[in-house]
Amino acid sequence: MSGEAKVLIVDDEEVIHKLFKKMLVSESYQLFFATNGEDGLALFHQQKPDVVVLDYRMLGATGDEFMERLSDMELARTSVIMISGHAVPDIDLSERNQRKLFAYFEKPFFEMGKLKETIERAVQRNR
Amino acid sequence: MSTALLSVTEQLDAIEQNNRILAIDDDSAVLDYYREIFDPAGGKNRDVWNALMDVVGDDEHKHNLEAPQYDLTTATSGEKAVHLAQQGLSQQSPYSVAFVDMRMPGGMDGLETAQELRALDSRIMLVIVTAYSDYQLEEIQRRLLHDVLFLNKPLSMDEAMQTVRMLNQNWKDREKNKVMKMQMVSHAKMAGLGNMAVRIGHEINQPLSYINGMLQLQKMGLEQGDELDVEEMVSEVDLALQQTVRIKEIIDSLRVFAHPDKKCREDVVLAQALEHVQRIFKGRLESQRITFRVQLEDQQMTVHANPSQLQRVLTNLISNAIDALLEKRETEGSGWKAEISLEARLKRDRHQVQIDFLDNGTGIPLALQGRMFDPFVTTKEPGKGTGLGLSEIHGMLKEHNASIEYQAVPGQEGAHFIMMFPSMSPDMLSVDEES
Repeated sequence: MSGEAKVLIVDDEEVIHKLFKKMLVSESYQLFFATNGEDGLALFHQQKPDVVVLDYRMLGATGDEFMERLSDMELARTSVIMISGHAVPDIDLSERNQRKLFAYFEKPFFEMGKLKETIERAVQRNR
Repeated sequence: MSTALLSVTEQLDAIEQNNRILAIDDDSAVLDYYREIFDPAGGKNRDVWNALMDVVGDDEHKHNLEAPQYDLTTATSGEKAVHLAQQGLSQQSPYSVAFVDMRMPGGMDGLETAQELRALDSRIMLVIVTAYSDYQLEEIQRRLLHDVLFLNKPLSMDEAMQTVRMLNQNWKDREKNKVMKMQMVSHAKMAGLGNMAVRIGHEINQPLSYINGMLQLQKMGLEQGDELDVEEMVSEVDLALQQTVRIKEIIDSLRVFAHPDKKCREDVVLAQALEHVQRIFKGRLESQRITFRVQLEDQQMTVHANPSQLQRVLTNLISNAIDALLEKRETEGSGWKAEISLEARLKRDRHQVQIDFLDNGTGIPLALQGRMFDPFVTTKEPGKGTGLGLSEIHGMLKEHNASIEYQAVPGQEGAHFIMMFPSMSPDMLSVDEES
């Protein structure tokens, strides 16, 4: 793969988009944003991002359902970082999706540095 | 009875073991007769009785001479009986059944005694024993309210024994049922509280994420000596401030739940109350793609209600509606449009507000419509609903001189509730009318 890494952020909160935009402004990533699962999936298929930052709880579908719609092959090409305002025990991921998950972050992100670093690692992994 | 310190199991055990009965008659020969029936061992405790039976009795014999099942106390007057009943209550061992002789010359007569016993303990099962009575049957029933049985003197042993068996068992069943219901209510409350806590946590985490994350990024930028873009920073701070307002609003919308028992009513602006409620459900409605349509005849219209109870009514209805809509979607498929709608209009010279609450979900089955406002009636699967929502609503509205009805329209899908509220406080109305 060549060119700029693509990062897709799917979260129904616009302010969260802004946060990621600022966090990643210094990186040469192409950023894509979606506010719901449907749009997120459409963008995913269109852009084939290296990394998807996925809110667990979204309009229309949970993060788990979103991942269900992706094939093993697609999940092998893309690192999924799940974020959620729920405490960990409340998020319900299938066994497959748990295995495929690259990282999980709880909101609020008290360690933005670590979150950023994780995204960088996820990008590297698929390069 | 202070049951607060006992666990549910302990409470149930205590009920199961309560075989206390009370017999009141001014004739000591009659009391001896009761003893012969209920306490043939002559006051010996059950262990002694059993030990005795082990020695002397074969099995058949044992069966015929069962150990005294009932713990009998006798009283020769109404006054003594009332005293005993008081004692029993204060020692947390109430009587389950009382035999009361109707004719007791001298002090309190049977009816007065029974009435006192009933006043002391509404649960006690009363058996009026009478050869003839100074009172009409209807009068007795009216004065003792409920659970009164009549037996004619002379009593046969079998009759007395069977009466006690039945009444004592009924008493136990009913008391156990009460404990279980209390338990369910407190579970439901806790579950409701838990769900709400999760929802609220989630709602607050969103704005908090921005504020916290943005501050971290700005700090990193400052530490790294990034060039300061004042305009950008101001807009970021503005947005962060907006998020704090959002958190404040969420907290405000919760405050109304804090004192649910306060009776204070005020003229609540319906539009504002709805805004609070919508904020609580915003995430759920959006994520489940449910449209919530609100139509108010007048944006300033008020209902005279306790704000927290009004919100509970609305949240209960919305919560039920969402469940019904999701159930319907399972059969209709994901493309089906789920809708909730609330319409409010002023009625009767603006003295009343009619709120129509509709959804296009599964509705309420005809068979349940007659008792849908009773506690524990639910359309939901076991474990999913407690059946307390609508009965709670009904109770709260009754307190408010308001009402709720279910409008069943044949052929029309979904549920339709119609509520009527007073639009403003009675004082305001009279001022209005005077002016």
